[in-house]
Amino acid sequence: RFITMSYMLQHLHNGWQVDQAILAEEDRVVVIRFGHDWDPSCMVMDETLYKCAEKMKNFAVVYLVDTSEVPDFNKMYELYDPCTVMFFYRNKHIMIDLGTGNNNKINWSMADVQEFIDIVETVFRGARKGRGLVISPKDYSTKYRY
Amino acid sequence: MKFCQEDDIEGQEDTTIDSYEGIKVTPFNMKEELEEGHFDKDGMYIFDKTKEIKDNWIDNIDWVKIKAKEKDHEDKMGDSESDDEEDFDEKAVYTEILSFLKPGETIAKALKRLGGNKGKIQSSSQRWKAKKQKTPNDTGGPSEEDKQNFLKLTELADKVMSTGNMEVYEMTYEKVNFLLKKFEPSKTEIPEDMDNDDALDMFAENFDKESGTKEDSSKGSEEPKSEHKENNSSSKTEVLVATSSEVMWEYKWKTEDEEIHGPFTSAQMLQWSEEDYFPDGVYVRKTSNTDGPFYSSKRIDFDLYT
Repeated sequence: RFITMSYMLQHLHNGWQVDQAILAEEDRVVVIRFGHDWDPSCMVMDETLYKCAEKMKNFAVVYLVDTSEVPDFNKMYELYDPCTVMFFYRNKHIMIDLGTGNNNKINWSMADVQEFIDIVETVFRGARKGRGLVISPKDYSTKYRY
Repeated sequence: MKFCQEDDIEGQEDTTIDSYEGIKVTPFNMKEELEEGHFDKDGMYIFDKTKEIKDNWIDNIDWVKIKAKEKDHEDKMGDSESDDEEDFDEKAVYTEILSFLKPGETIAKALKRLGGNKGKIQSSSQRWKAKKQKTPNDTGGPSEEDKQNFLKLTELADKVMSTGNMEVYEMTYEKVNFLLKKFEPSKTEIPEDMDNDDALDMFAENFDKESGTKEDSSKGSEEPKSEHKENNSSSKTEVLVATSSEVMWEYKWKTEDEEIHGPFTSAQMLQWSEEDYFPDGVYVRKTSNTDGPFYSSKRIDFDLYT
């Protein structure tokens, strides 16, 4: 299909672009995947993101950031996992209680498209209501994750 | 009308000394005030208008002449609004305003960006950094150039405002652009001088793309119904609809249960959860998402969907 072409996930190539992407988006959640395109866990995540992007286009936009090309945020966001996904809304980082104890980010790769969409939708609805922390519909603590 | 007499005011003191070590002392009484006005029975102080200064100039005004002039003026206004704004070149002003704005930005936002009391808007990451380092964010004031632009833009907006456009600060880049196009139907391009900002140019490609997708999304939210119909074949578009119309829920008591209850509104679900109708949680799913997973109601904040 032709449409899918326009939903190729966009890379951001420097810190300024990352900041601008977060700043410029007024009405949607900005989803940023930090990692490497070649990393196996990122590949899984990117596949999920790719499948979600069009379905979420009304309330979310997805960007990819290579943490080697753009190391600006590595220390600050503690990006030491192979794959990290973070959410921003109106220039604000939105935290999410995933049951993992780390409310800042998703630091594993998610393969379930619907689950991910549900998370982003929750982030969107929560952020729009002024919440800085939302609860993911599913508990991803280790006892449930596997 | 009954006035408050001086005797009615309690706790007054007579004048003791006029000054103390060079500081004037005002006696704790109302004598001075009562010379210039009076209190009504509720204690409201009213200045006596009789002592108002007379102005010979005002007395000399020929009100008949003024009324005539006013009428003349109104007639003119009726003819064409721009008659008395001859020295206001709308096109030039709007063009200049446009050069300060970024796409999607209102004049108010641009002013905030250029001059805002806290300098630049901090990006999310900068705030994160500041929070981590626990240092007060002293990003410094706006640059000199920004300050100049800020003043210029304020001046321009003020000009527009003075012509009676009270919504000028809420005008977006697109609105200004649209107005400009109206002035010059033949020439519809954005003035070139808006690109003097290097940074903007660098990201121009992205702006184009983004505005494109934004248009899409706004279209979607305006008429979710029609989009829904068009793509009815795929249940996937329901997600889009879900964000703009009411969300309905169905639930079952246990994951292995066959029996599904519902659909119920988010408000109903919220009420039940708040009333502890589901003490151990139930497994819920949006009805729009017939093959989606069931989630524990304990982790769903139904308030977000109402």
